[in-house]
Amino acid sequence: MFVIGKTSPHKAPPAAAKHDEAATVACEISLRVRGCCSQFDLHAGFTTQSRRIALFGPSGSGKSLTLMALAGLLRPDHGTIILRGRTLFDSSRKVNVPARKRNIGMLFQDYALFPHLTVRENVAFGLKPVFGLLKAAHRERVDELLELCGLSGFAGQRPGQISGGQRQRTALARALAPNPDLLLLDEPFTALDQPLRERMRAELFDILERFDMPMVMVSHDLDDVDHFAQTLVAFGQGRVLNVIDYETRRKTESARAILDPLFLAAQKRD
Amino acid sequence: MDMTFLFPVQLSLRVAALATLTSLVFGVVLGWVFHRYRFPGKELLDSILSLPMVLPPTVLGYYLIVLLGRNGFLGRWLQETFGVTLIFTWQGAVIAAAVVSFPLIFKSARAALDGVERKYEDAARTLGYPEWRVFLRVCLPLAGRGILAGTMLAFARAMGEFGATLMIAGNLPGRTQTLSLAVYSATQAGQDSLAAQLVLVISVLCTLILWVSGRLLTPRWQA
Repeated sequence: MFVIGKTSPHKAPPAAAKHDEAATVACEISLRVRGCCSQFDLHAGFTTQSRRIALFGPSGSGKSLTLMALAGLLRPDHGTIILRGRTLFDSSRKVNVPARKRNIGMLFQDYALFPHLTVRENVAFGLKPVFGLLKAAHRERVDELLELCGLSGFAGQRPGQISGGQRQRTALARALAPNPDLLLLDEPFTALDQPLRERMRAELFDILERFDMPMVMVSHDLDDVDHFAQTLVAFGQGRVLNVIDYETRRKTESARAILDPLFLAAQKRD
Repeated sequence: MDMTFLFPVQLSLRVAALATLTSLVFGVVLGWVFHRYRFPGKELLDSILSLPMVLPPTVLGYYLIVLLGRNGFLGRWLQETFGVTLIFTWQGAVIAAAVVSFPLIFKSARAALDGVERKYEDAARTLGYPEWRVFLRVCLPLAGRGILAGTMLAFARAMGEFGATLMIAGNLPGRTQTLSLAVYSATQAGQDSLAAQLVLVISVLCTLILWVSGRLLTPRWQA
């Protein structure tokens, strides 16, 4: 159960940064989620120009909700979300771009592959026109992605027939197919067991490196963050505790030296 | 074969097919509305829409007569505007059967759609799909099993409809006498062999429906 104290307004970032057109993500949101017997208040604000952003924190710290809000799958009560200069959400101006028009790709935690469609149909899903078949250029793109993700041999199979690693790559190819402006990764490795996780992490980041696409990853795993993060947004109790230039600090410090204090800080306020 | 046997059989099939089609459209659309939206009085409305499942068919028949009869407000309007009378017609039997079978489809459609995990809908949304395409490409295929099962039951229920049909369409041989009514009349009149033939037909038909639906229900993606 989430135990929440009073809802103090989050410290706003400097006004200059808020309107920075170059920022990859400028997010300043608050929302309240009501359960049957508890509620959770999230006040998340961060602005960064980094292209690989990790939202890091323990379970229940609000990082996944923030990701949902970025994707447009959850509507914040207040705030703004600006992505590469494009306002996706602004409560004061009543702007709320629906998820389908945000052009944000999402890799879901357990992939959410459509079980009734083949691997190929899953990957092509976001390119499919309302009527008729895929355009030739889109068909080529699907083939390329299948090839790149090592799925060509499984294109005709359904998600239930392939391995966990193949499923993840299918989900990745599906998210990348419409060429999104931003890719969101929700705990991409928790559904895999430990030995496979190491391999998949290397494979996934290998694939992602070929796409010049800003990414936001949610994770509570130290290794994920260490492999991925350029900038770290540390969450705790529904707040952003710190925004860290991880890549720079990592040159002089060990991963644990940076991340352990954040974990402690996130837990301290319990 | 003589018409005393053939007519009720073909009439029942026609009435049940049209009734099922009608309640399929309304049931799935309303099931989706109930799945997708929240509004005040939703569960109360759900109960009201499900009433035909539990009310005695004669009570439904009574309601339908009040509504569609010559003095009913809908019935009078239909009569005055289109010159259409539903009482004592086979079209009236379609309406009776549709009302009775509707909750079976509505309930199963709502449950099946609620059973489609939200993540699939969300995935389709992030891939650029508007709600109606999410429904057609994700919800409907994933809920298809449940909806089909409900539809089969609805068809069987429509075939067997007796009470409401009797009240609104009557029991006119060669005009509104459906199979279940014909069984009743044949038994009353001591035409035992006709009754037996009709009973056999409906029993075989219903068994066939349940068997086919069971076979159709295995989804092709579950290898």
